[in-house]
Amino acid sequence: MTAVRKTAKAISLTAENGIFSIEAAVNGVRGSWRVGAEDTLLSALRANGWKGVKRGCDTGECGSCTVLVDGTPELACLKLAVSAHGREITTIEGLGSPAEPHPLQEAFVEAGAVQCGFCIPGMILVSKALLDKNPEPSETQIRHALDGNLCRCTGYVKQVEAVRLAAGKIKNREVRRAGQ
Amino acid sequence: MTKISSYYLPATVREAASRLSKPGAAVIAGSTLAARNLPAGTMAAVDLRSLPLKYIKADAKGLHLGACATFSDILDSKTACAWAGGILRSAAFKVSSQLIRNMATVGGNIARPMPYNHLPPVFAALDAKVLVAAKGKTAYYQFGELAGKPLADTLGKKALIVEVLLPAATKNMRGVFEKFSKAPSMWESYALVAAALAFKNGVCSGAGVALGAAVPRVVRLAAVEAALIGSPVTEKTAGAAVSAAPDGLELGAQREYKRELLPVLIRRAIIAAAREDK
Ligand SMILES: Cc1cc2nc3c(=O)[nH]c(=O)nc-3n(C[C@H](O)[C@H](O)[C@H](O)COP(=O)(O)OP(=O)(O)OC[C@H]3O[C@@H](n4cnc5c(N)ncnc54)[C@H](O)[C@@H]3O)c2cc1C
Ligand code: FES
Ligand code: FES
Repeated sequence: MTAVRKTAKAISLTAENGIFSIEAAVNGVRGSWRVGAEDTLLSALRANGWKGVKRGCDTGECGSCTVLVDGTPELACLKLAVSAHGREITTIEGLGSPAEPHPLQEAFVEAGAVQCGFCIPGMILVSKALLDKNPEPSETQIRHALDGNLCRCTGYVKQVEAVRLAAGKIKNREVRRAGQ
Repeated sequence: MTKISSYYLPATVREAASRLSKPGAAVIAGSTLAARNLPAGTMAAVDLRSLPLKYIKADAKGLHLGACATFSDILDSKTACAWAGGILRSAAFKVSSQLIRNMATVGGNIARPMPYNHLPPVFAALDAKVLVAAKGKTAYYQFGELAGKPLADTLGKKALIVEVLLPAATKNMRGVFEKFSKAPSMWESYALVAAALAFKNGVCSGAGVALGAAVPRVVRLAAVEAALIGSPVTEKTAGAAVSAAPDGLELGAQREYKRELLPVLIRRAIIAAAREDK
């Protein structure tokens, strides 16, 4: 087990036999995690069953490993797993389910933005962060937000349409909620 | 990959510096480079994210960029985006992707400068100062003294960048950042130019022109600057000022291409900066 010592707000973690024990929330579930000292956040998440986080290039170029760290899209392949201590991590599994998809997930399907699907978790998470910050983004803003998410199947057109469609869905949902 | 046994999230700069001074300790900031490349023998990682160094603020001294401010923080800051004609905004905007912009920090960009890093030419052109905690004291260093060299080579392996200060005098300069490559993946074909000009009654009264990526270390183009100062900046004067720019530079790979490219790119940056004045 890892010794966790807190002084003021400073935190000190010590690995035992190469394993750190960290506290993090993954997809809303707060808990203790055991991660290897050499593990990236990408490998740790996948080893713990969050297979929606994809390993593409493993060098920060493709965006398929995108996760939200405290709401901001970051590259899990360029982060040590231990750095997730105290953070809230969201993977695509945290957004919706087949029974209750997130409006972005619905929109990507409806717009025909998914082919093989490998890049889509990253694209959707980046889009989620964008819409949280800017509910009505322009095409340029959408393209700028998605500029680190490479897709080997499509032409980056349908995804932009999907984000716009999702923005409308989220707005309508909020209007409906406000009216209830 | 280096196997660390301790991970620290210090709360103050003093504590971070003290942790870093211990044998086998190394800094991680945005981790875009460090997570996969900690120096051999690193046993303890000092993660800077919990330090209050994510600020961007202006005062009478100038614009202060905390070491942990990211490129996205720069783009979110109206003050930073407006500084020196938007040169920082342009440098941040042109970083390869939003995901890198969200993670990559100002401190990391200058601590271990890869030739293609965007901020070194901007900081060189704007005469930036860097606040560094090293060897038990915290002091400002002229960016030019550190420019383009790994921090460890100049101030020792245990130096901690705290902030970058762009002097107040640069606020109203007209700055432009240009980036060019044959293809995004061809690192050896990259060239970065930061040009910042000051004008008085239509005459160039101050100039900072710096080149990155095409050369192993960022350089200020002193001869180009000297040729610009004292005249209005036109296509003709800018063309004359840059014609000899590549002479004497260590151009390395793709030398012929760079000899053609650089005068055009530098002139383009200068003209764009001058146009901003009108
Ligand atoms: C796919 C990819 C694309 C990239 N594209 C660009 C680009 O377009 N433009 C660009 O400029 N860069 C780019 N980079 C390079 C990199 O992201 C930047 O240089 C970044 O600013 C590094 O900052 P960081 O916070 O991630 O540093 P880290 O990776 O955390 O650290 C890098 C080094 O700096 C040291 N360090 C960090 N902060 C400090 C500090 N405050 N004091 C002392 N030492 C410190 C670390 O110890 C380490 O040696 C790219 C990198 C990748 C992987
Ligand atoms: S796997 Fe992380 S960016 Fe490609
Ligand atoms: S849908 Fe196949 S990689 Fe994007």
